[in-house]
Amino acid sequence: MKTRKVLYIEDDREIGSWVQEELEQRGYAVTWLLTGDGAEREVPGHDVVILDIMLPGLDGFTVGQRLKKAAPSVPIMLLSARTAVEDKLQGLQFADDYVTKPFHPDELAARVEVLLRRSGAAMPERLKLGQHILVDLADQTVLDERSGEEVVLTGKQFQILMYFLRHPNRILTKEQIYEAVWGEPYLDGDKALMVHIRHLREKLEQDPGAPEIIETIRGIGYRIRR
Amino acid sequence: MKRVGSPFRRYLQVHFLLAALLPILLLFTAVGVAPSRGHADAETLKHLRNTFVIVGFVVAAFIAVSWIFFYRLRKRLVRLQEAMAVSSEGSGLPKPVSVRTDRLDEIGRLEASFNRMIRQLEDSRRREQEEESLRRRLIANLSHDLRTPLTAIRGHAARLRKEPLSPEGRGSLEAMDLTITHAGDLIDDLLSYTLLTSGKYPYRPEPTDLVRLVRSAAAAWYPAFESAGFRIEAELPEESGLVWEVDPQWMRRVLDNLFQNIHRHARDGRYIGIAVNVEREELAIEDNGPGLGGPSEDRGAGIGLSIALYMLKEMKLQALFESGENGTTVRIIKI
Repeated sequence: MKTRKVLYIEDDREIGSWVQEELEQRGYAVTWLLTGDGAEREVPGHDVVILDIMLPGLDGFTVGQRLKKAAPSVPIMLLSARTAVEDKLQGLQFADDYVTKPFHPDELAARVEVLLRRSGAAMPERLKLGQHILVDLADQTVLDERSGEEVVLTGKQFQILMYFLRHPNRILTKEQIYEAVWGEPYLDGDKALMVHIRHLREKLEQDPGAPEIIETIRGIGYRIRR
Repeated sequence: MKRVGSPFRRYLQVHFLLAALLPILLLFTAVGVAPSRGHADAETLKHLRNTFVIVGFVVAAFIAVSWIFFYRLRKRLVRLQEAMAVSSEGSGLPKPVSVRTDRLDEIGRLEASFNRMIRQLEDSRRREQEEESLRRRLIANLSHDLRTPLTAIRGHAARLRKEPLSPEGRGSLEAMDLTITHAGDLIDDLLSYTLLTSGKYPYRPEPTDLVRLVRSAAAAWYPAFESAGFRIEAELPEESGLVWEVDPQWMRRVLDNLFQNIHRHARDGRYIGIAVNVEREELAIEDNGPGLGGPSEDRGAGIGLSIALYMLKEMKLQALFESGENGTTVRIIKI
């Protein structure tokens, strides 16, 4: 997998050097800037931006908006000690995530991964699910390794599977999955998602009655572990 | 202040004059009638008629003066009452009334006093808003200024963790990490509580599907409870049917605070039960921890719980706690 590039803008040297070190140890290439000056020129070559709000000169809100204009596809994470709802709302108008200090390095790395996955920069080309299913994301195919045959999924089944793969290890509620895949509000009593998940299990699981790939969390939702 | 004649005094003067004039008038009339005993009856009748006309005129004048007096008096009092009742835009205080400087009688002085009181209230309100704004800025800045060094401390602790350390050293680092997390949460809670109690935390109630909201919060907390070894039971109906008029953000904050309390203080019980009963319109969250009064390694001032209770009250909901040595159940119902 290619090295993911992070553009990190932080004026506090203690925090900046620590975060740079943490991310580099996790395999990211980090470009650390002390101010937002020149960030617009830097951003096109990067996969994700981590941006502090309280910066000398132009503040993080202004810098972030300019970066989004310069490179709309690059996700931006705001990293700030400002916790007021107004700040979060203002930031999330252009940013993709908002993390408050004092953050934990593992949480920061996990959130960076989520942003990269959402933007497609962190998805590996091939994923193994359970003991026998191989998902080729480049070809958009699902292979049963036991038989070597392709598992044919319908459009909705593939979209549901992809949504799970973009949010691995997270519990996804039925409403959340339905609204993300169908693109419309979930209505009480709609069984369409459950029917699709049942068919998906029949195609993917060794024993659909005791699923190992798509886990059911009773009363809450579903999860795919990776 | 220049004082002009009081309407009451004028009214009393008119009354006095009428009360004094009427008997005199009647006396003169009677004297005018008595010597005329030898005159013709027609002359007597004329006198009597004149007397009645004059008395009638005086009574009519008296009634008219009284009516005008009370009408004008009532009009001014109603105007003052309306001014007191109607609040001006935004401030919540009544608007001042216009006072005629040439009519500083009792009511005029009452109007002037009313205006003075409004000005004092406005000044007081402005001072209060300035102090509130200053307090908010101070706490927001304090929150920011405390969080930044906490992050730096966490950075140094993270670096130290990568060095060879004794088991005691590792234990201290873990304790330090936990304390940083709690200090950050406390700062956040303090800021939220300040905003809440000063009415500055945006509150936007809307019809909210409770089951969906609880399911979403439970899904977010599930991995945290799972990694802490909790057994998690969720009794959430597939179809909701329970809609409460609440602010979903506030309700989510309440749930987060309650889940966080269980995650922190009820770890020993290793159990959490989350149930929504649609028929009883009730949300119940249960744990097997040491109870609200029980020991906990990191018991704070309980500000998180205070925030949850405050928000519930504002949303016209109530939390009923049943707590003992074997656990706590909190039931959230409508008031």
